[in-house]
Amino acid sequence: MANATIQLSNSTSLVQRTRQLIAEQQNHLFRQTDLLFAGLLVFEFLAGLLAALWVAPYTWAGAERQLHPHLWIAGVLGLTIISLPVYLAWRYPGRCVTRQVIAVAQMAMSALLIHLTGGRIETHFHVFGSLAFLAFYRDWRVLVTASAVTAADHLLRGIVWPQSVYGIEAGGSWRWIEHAGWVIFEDVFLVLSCLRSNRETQTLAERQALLEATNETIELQVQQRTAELKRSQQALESANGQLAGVLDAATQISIIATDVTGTITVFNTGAEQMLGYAAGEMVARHTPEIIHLPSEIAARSKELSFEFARPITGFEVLVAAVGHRKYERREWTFVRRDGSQFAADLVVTAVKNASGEVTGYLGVAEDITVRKETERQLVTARETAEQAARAKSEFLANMSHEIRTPMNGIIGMTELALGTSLTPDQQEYLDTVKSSADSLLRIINDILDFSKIEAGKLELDPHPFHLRDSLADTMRTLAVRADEKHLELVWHVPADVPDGFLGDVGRLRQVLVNLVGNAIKFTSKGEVGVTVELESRSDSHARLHFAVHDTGIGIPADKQALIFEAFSQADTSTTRLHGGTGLGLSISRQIVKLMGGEIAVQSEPGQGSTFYFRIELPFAGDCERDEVLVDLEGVAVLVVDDNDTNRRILDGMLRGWKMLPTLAASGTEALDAMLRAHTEGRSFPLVLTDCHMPYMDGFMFVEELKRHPELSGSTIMMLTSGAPQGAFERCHQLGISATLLKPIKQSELQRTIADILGNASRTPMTPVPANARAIPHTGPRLRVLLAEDNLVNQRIAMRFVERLGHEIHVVDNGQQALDALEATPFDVVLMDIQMPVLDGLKATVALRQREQLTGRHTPVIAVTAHAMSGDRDRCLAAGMDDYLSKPIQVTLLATALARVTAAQSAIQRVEPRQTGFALSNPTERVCDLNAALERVDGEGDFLKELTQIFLDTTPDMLAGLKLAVELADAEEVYHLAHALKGSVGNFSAHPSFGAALRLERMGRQGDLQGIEVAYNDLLSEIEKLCEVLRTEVLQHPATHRSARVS
Amino acid sequence: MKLAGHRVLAMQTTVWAAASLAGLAWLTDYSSVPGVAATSPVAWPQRADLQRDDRQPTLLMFLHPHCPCSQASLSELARVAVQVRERMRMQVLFVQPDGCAPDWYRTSLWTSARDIPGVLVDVDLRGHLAGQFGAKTSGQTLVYDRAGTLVFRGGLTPGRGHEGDSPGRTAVLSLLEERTRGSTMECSAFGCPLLTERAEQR
Repeated sequence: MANATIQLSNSTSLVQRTRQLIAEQQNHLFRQTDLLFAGLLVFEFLAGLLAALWVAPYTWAGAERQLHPHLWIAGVLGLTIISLPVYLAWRYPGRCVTRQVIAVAQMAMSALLIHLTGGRIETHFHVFGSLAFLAFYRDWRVLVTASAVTAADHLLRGIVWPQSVYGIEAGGSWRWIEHAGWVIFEDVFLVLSCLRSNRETQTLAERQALLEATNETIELQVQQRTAELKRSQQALESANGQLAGVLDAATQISIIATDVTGTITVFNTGAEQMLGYAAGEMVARHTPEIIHLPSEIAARSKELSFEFARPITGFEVLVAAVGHRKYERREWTFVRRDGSQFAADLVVTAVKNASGEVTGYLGVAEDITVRKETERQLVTARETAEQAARAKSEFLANMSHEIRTPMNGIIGMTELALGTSLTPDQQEYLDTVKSSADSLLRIINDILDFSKIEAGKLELDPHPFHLRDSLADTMRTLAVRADEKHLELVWHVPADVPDGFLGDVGRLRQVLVNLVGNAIKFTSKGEVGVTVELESRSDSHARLHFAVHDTGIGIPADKQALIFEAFSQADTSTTRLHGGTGLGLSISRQIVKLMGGEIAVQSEPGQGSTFYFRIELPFAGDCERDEVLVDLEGVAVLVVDDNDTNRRILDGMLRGWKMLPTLAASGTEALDAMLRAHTEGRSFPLVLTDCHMPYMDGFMFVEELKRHPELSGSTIMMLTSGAPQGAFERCHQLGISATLLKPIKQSELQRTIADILGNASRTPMTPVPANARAIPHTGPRLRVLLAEDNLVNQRIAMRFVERLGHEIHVVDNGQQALDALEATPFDVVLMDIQMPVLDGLKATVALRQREQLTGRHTPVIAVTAHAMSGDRDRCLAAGMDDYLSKPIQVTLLATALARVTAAQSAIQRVEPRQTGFALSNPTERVCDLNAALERVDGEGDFLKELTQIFLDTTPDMLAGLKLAVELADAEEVYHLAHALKGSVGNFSAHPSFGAALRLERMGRQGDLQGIEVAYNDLLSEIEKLCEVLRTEVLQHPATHRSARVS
Repeated sequence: MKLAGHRVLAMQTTVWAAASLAGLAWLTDYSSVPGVAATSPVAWPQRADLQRDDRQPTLLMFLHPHCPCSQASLSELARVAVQVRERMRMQVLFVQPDGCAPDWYRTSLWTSARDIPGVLVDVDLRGHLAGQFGAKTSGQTLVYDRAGTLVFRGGLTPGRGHEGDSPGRTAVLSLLEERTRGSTMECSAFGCPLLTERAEQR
């Protein structure tokens, strides 16, 4: 539509322009012709006047003469005739009236001429000539007027005086017609000529208009193209400017451009700096070969000559390969102007013009001396690292062997000892040894696994296995731990999941043990469950989805990625609470990765977590299992379990064997179901009941069942998560046919059901030893010197050291410690770092200097907050032997004491004592009293004592801190904040700890900007902490454990 | 151009046309006004200083040597002479008034006349002969028959300086056929006065 409009518009404008051009052309023609005739008329007038003057200047009368009247006629009449046309031609050129008057005047001049010549026929040619001249106007109307004037003149004079026009008298009345006819004859051609001329004029005008339009279009296009060209040129100039800028700025890169012959055209700043030549001396110089090592050029020349089967020399050596590739990149040895050499990475590209013709070459070179050196160092480092890794692997392998061998001895002998007649205390001690040895072995295994993973040497050992049995075995090992925490441990493998697979079941079990163990560890109530689902399967493989869910504390979103990192846990406090190396999940992730899967977690704090992974396992063609041949189809089973998940699992298993399960959530519900069935004439040949149920547990249910003789025909199986003391006796007494430990192994349940329904007796499970608890181990009694200025910390350290069976002496600062050491030798010193008078570092330095004289060495263990990075290094640099971070943990203290004193017997695992003291707080926003209680070995009274000390000493410290803040005494702020930080740390009061840490940093760095705000924050947090401690610790008579304080 | 301009132009054109027509009309009128008619004797004067040929008619043409209109008369005479040939004595007399230079009469007309075959050319000093034959106007032509009787008197041109068909020429040529014998044919002659009135009186 737009194009059509434009075309229409163009067409209209063309017509208009054509008309305009015609009008202009005609106007121009009219004007020119007007002027021509004006000149002609003047000429005719003058010629007539001259002719009159020459032919008949006088009229005579005898010898007298007068001017001839013809002279007057030529002058006056001629002037009269030409006056108006000349005037109009001058005044109104181009007007219609002008040319019409000219036509009349011209023909009047003809008439006059004819008249004066007496009608000479020759003078009539003037008429024809005049008409021809008038045809210059190309206006037929002019010809008509002129012809009319001539005809009228001939007519009138033919009548009046024919001789004056025809020269003869005869034909005066008709001859005008003949003359007029000849005039018309000429007019016809002249008019036709005019019309044709006008048509040609129109054609020319149309062409002119078209040409102009075309020119206009072309002009427009030219302008557009010019503008585009200008923009392109500007862009090009800009680009060139930028390029020049880049070339100049690229001081670390040598850029050399040449033409096709090798003459250098660009030699940038980088090249100048790199090669030592100035651009001025290199540009226009032929071939950059001079910066190359001749031997390399020669060698490359040989290569290329062989490759291209023709001699390649000179500059072509550098560029020959570019034609076959987009660019050529090679390392060369460049030669500087001073002759020195260096390695360079040279990229040569061909510069082409728009038609693709090569116009030159561009060489970009980089000095790779440093890179080469780095590469060399890297190679060396890699070789060193590989050597170290090999040594490490060998070391680990040796250590594995060396550690496992005695560990086997310890475990084996402990187990043997446990099988002998022991006193209760001996039994407990050996249980502890066994448990500790197992833990140590697990840690060693974790570390070895991690080392293998790091070295990429962890390999899978696939064997055929039964998924369900393996899973059940795994879960069974964890059942005791779950039961200890009163957790339901459930697992479920739907019937559609294949059972026989080929895989490293040991590693799979390791992953599940880790995930389920973690779930149990971080779940205080509820359940922990494992589900395995079939995602997809092929003829040879199945893709399984493993999920381990719990109802535990959950993991914050920002920590979810962190937990899979080695040595990381979501909350470092959990390490203290729950132990662990922090390697488990990392190892699990690597194992799953090795199996072709990936571990992920979904969790919400407080809502529990679900860890899941997908792995693809091949089917095991030769994986045989013991099939139970007993037909269980149609057997009615009553399942009694308060846990819905367990009920569903059992329902699935039983239905898989085509049995008819009825589910009951409690003993009461089960009794109702059985009585109802009895009423209806049915019965339950088999009853599967859980042991642990609220209100009415499994035993109570069975006892109630025994009170109904009509229901006595059922065979009863007890499912339990643990083995309560005396459970098996009761089972026998109540006539329970079999007891199975949850989680139940599907095949085992099937076999057991088959056995007892076939009147086979099931041997009850082996009693599981009661959970062992470590106790302090007696060892060499050490004399311990504690240098600590904080009362709370003093009390804690004293208590721990005494509990470990050692003797402790307390001093308040480093100087007193030096004095005490001077007076009495101690086996070990626990040295706080931040102390008044003389801090721990200086005291240790002084001690070491003193010991250079005595030759003895008293072990010094630094005791400080580890918040400051580099503390440990500074301590060791000062001559300390070990490092303990506050708040002190008794186990770590024992370990440290053992380490520095070589008193191996001091290594003990001290479990929290169940003292009956408990605190109930929902969150840990203010402090974690549970952790605090655990830290003091569960001794509530001691915690109360510490709390009282804290409440007594803190106000003075805060007052001092406030004063220091007001006086802007950075050093005092640092010391007091550090002391407060140590105090609140004993209560796991993280907000207060953080606030004190901020102040400590400010004081240490001397930057007190915003110190008032930080002080107020600390004050506010400590006030909250004090309030909580007063209400929850000092005034709390409670007897059960709980968690945290809000 | 505004209306007033049109009117002015129309008026100018009208005036111009009228003036031009008037001029042409005056010219026509001037060209057609004959000179003073001759008072020639009907018979050849006895005392005439000019001889007559008895064998043939005699044509006398009086011309003013400088009369611009008389060239036409000579041209007509030449045409007549072609037709007359030897059948008429023709003589052109150039009138030279008294007091003029001796060669005053030798003009282009004189030459033209001399170039006409069969025509005698002579000078009429002081207009003596013109006076004898009563000629007044240049171009006046007189034809006497063999008997000396005036048979034609007038000019050979239709107007001043105009050549072409004229009654005079027709009349002269008709005399050769002697169809008009018995009466004198007359017509107007166009040209300059041969002499001033004062000279004529002398």
